[in-house]
Amino acid sequence: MQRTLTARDAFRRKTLWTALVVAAAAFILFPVIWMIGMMVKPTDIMFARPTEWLFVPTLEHFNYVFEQKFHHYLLTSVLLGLISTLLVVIIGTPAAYSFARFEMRGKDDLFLFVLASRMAPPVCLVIPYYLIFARIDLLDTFIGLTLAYMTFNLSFYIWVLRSFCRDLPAELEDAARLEGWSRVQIFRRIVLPLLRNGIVATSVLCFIFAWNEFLFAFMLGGKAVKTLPVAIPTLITTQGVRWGEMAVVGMVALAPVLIAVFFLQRHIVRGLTMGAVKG
Amino acid sequence: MATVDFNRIWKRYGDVEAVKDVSLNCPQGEMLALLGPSGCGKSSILKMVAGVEEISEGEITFDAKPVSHLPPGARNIAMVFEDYALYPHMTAAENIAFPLKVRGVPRREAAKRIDGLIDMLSLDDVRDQRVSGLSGGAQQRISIGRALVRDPELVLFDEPLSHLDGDQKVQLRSEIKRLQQTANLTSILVTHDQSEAIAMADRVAVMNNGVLQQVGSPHDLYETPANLFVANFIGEPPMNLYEVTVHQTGNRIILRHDGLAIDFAADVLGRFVSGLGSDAATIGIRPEDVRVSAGHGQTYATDGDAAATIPARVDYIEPRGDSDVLTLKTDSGAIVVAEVDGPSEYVIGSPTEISVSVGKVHFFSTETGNALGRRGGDA
Repeated sequence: MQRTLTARDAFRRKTLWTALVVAAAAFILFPVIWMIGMMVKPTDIMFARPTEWLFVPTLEHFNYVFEQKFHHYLLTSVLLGLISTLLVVIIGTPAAYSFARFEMRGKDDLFLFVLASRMAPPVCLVIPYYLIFARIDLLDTFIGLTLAYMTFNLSFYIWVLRSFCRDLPAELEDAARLEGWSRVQIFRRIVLPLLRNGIVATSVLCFIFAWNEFLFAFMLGGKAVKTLPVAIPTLITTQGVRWGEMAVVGMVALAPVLIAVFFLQRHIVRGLTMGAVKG
Repeated sequence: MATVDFNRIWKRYGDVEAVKDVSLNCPQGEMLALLGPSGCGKSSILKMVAGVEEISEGEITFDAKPVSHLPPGARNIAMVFEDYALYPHMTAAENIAFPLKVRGVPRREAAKRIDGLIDMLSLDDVRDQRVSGLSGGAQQRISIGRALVRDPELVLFDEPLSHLDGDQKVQLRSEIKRLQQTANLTSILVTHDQSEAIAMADRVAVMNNGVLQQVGSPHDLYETPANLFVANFIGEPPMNLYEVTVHQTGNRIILRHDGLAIDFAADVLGRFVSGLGSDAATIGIRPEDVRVSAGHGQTYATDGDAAATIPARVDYIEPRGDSDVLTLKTDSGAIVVAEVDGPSEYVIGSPTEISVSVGKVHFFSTETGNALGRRGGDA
């Protein structure tokens, strides 16, 4: 008797739990699904009451988006994210490794200095950036924004990757040094392969930051160099908000983030918790 | 294979002195163990030999050639690590092959040597597996294979067995010893486990707080410990140590401890007592040198060599199969640990009589901790 009771209990608990998860998922996913509907919904029935669930899909929103050269902004966002992240990886990986491995005078102060750029609210940083960029003619240039994102992401990247580096046993490197390998060889042939997961997870986070970023893109760019987050508000026009187009562009902006999180969630959580616990 | 000499080595980390003025010698073909509690400086010495840490002061020579200016790779040293330090992104065979690959040894010759080692270390089953999933014992055998694949001048073992389970530990211990002897390897073993050091090493160097305490064969350390630290550290269960006051009257010498008095003829103890600066001394008795007999003897008697008989009761028994370790309490409250053949008849509360042959008693200066010698040894 006792056993059947517990089995039923467990079944109930599981059912309840599943129902809760489904409800939570529906709550979170509904706006996304609604947005997908808006992408192909004719403008005249966009906000019809009661809601029209059945309609002939239209491509009018897609056409407008292309007419407005949104694919250029998309390309700008992609290139900006990729190139700035690539630079972060190239500069940040050896830096994180050095912070984790080598002793030097004032290392902790330097590390805190690196981190400090991340602690200030971005609004505080954007003004000096604007003044500096204005002086050296980097305003509204691709290079300027790339450099800004790179600097901003570098501290985060070094911070997280340092704890990945600390997790690598120093004995591995000692073993290779006994075989006569130089520091550089060890870094390339042993440290890098072992850091691969950490590098991928952390750089995805950097890419997503650059992808989502609005303030810097708006202040330092905005005309010649326009990213998706900056371009989206232009759909709020004097003739009204173009909801269908907004759904199309919003979906495109959301896609890389969703894909990245879906495939890399385990790595990302590990990367974040490692940084949090051991940083 | 080389002879390794340490000439007055110091290691400082900032203000911390990890190794203080250590001189040691490891002749060709010998296994020397560095033994001590954690933080005693033994690992620092190993890292300085390997070259992964710099020597603060002093010189290390291989066959009388100084090596401290050489980078690790130029010293031709192999090392077996506590955590195995295998490259997790390579297979077992690739790990063993690594030192040869780095040196550009021709493929055919390399393959021959790798096959030989895999065979010798019975690693056939795991040859092409990634190392991360393998058992500790297998990983450590791979690590040994990697160390031996290229005829090093010196092999360093850094706590090689401490992460292994009991039976793997004993098995690998004898395997390492066999390899070391057949290949006549000069090797240095760092360990905190005295049974490991005693079982594997030809000579053992005991360290504490960065200072070398004593170097000698396991037998020497056990029979004639140089000071209280070594006396207490070597031997399991550890030596019984008692602080005594020495009274000399005429031709008798009386040692007093906690209401106990043991009376000796002066000619038996005279030369130890003469080495004392004060009337305080420490005596040490190994648990297996305590003679225990059942009984209810009243008081002690002394005559020349056969020492006192003291009544005591069994307070605690730790059976170890072939022996029993008894914790005995005398009437005056002194604790004596004795190891007797097991299984014994004693139970908790059994009345016993204990005695020690004077020849088995170790004498130390309480002040300096240094040994004054042992009556039975050659002091």
